[in-house]
Amino acid sequence: MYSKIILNNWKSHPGKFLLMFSALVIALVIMTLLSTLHYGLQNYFLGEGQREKILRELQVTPRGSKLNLSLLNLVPQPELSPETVEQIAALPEVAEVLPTNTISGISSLQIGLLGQIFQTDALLFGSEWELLDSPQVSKTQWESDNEPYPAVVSTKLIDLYNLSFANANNLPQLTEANFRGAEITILLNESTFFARNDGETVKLKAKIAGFSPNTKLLGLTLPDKIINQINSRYLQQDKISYLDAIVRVHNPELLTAARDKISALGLDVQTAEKSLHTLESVFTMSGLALNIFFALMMALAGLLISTTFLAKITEKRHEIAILKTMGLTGTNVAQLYLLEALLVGAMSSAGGLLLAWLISLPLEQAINSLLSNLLTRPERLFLFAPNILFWLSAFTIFISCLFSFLPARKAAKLDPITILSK
Amino acid sequence: MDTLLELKGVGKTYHLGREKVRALRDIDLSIGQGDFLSIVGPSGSGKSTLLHLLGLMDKPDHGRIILEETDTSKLSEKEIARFRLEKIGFVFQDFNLLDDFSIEDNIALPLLIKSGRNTLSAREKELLETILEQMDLTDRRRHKPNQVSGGQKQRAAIGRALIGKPSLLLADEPTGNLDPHTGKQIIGLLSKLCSDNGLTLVIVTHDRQVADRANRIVQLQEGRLATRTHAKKYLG
Ligand SMILES: Nc1ncnc2c1ncn2[C@@H]1O[C@H](COP(=O)(O)OP(=O)(O)OP(=O)(O)O)[C@@H](O)[C@H]1O
Ligand SMILES: [Mg+2]
Repeated sequence: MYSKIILNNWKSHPGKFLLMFSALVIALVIMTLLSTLHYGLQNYFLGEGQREKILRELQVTPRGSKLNLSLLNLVPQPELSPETVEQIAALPEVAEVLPTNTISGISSLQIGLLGQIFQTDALLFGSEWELLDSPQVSKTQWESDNEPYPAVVSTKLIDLYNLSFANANNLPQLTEANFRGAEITILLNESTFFARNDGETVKLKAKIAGFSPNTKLLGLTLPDKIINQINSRYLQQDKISYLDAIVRVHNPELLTAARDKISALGLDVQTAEKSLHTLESVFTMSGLALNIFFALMMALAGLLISTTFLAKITEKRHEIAILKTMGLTGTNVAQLYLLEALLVGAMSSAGGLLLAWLISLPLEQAINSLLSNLLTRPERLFLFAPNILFWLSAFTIFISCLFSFLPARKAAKLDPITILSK
Repeated sequence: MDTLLELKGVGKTYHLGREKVRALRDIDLSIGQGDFLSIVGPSGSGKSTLLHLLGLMDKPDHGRIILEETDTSKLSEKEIARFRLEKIGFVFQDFNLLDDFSIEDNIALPLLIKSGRNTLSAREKELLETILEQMDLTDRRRHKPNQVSGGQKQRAAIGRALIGKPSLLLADEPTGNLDPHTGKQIIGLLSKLCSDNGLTLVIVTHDRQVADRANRIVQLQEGRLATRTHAKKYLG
């Protein structure tokens, strides 16, 4: 009976209903887009796998090493010996050790790309397949040890190049498609920057096999076996040694213990724990700010609902009085208006979520095409997680009911005789 | 004749700031089942106030109102609402139909309130048809109140008052907003309904002719019963 009265009322006075409906829908759409974007980014940076991975990783370097100076190779670098790597691997906390090596000499690269030939000094690193941990590199390719050697470039480097260098110089963008398979000539013992000649130039062929976010930013990464091979074959270096290593522990609780034990071996150990916590607090704070913003927006919508309901009740005084003389109690009248508020809330939350989803599709596409030159980007920006949607819609309904409570009580208290005898 | 309604020492005072308006004082009145009673009196004498008390729409300050052997002063708001829904029909001078509802929905509303549902049962539909026919509103059933005449509005209001099969029908100047001819028809309809169904009817009126159709006339003067029930010689 209530719903018949409510529907009848909406049919004959759609304006007020539409006003409340659109206020809630607008607030909810804005909030849903922001929340799902927030969640999408959070999931990308701190998603379950991501967070766990960060909390399981240690970066181990020899004490006092300055990585980038190895370009000049002037200062003898402290190194991680295979024995030290063995020692670390033997620790009970440690699941795997993924060391990086490098060539013991200078090198530069020639690369034909986008119709041009570039030549530059470059570092050559070696790592194991496990370190790459990237869907953009295939394992079979990585394990071949014939020329052209498989080489991997940091996805971050390509993003950096596209965002700053290519854009600024009006050069074409590097994409996965146009960069993969590119031929590279490695020139050992040759430098374009320094007038040095450490021996006869050796030319080796390599080929871009793929991209990984886990390799070193500046330089080219090859399979570590190949680096060892190059060292012994062309650079008179038979001793195997490493620049640094990534150590993964079995689970995040073991991180501190592993750090202490590796430190005790005389090595520098870094974890990303701190930056992870910084990032986490950024997300917590921005989430909080979003919630406050949502609460404010909803409070505004709520005030609008309150005033609309009050106006409605003043306008419908006569009708309420008639219903009361017929046998509705004050409680019934309050229920009638609360039910209406509930329906407004429920319909707005359904409409708002649907609309937000519809808007997110082209928005996602637009942002995606803006970011298309980045290799590192979230798969989905707007992540419509059920629990977020649930809380958003629950809050919308709650606000609608909360702000109609006083008007409903006022309606319940109306005295029919006073109204009807006027 | 069984007593349907009994008022014992009923008084009602309105407070307007410091001023007191004693709308009713010390009313003793007994109304039997099937009675047709009219209440007359000058403006401001308390007729409407009395009718509101009879309809349980308001509560007296003094005295008791006993409806079907139930002391209504002891009832909760919910029970009173139930009583009104099941036992009392009320007809107003200015119709008081719901503007957004069609004529038939207005008439059916008490049934929906009683059942709490959104649609009528088969039996209730049948009842609605009968009422529409009795009130001669079948061809106006889908119209909104502002699309029909005053007489039709009042017939719809009477239909609404009757559909719950009340034992008591109260009407406050039901012809006050109608032309004399239509007024006469309405009164004819009301008194016929009463004699046909054994319904108790109480009408407040200024119109002597209307009052005379009742089998009992009660006169109010400054909130008191001026003439003790003054019975008429014949019925109907
Ligand atoms: N809600 C109210 N507040 C204050 N005084 C009231 C109220 N309702 C009625 N009165 C007063 O009580 C007295 C009786 O009023 P009531 O409406 O019962 O008169 P009535 O006989 O129906 O008059 P009328 O023929 O003009 O309709 C009047 O003096 C009126 O002013
Ligand atoms: Mg009156």
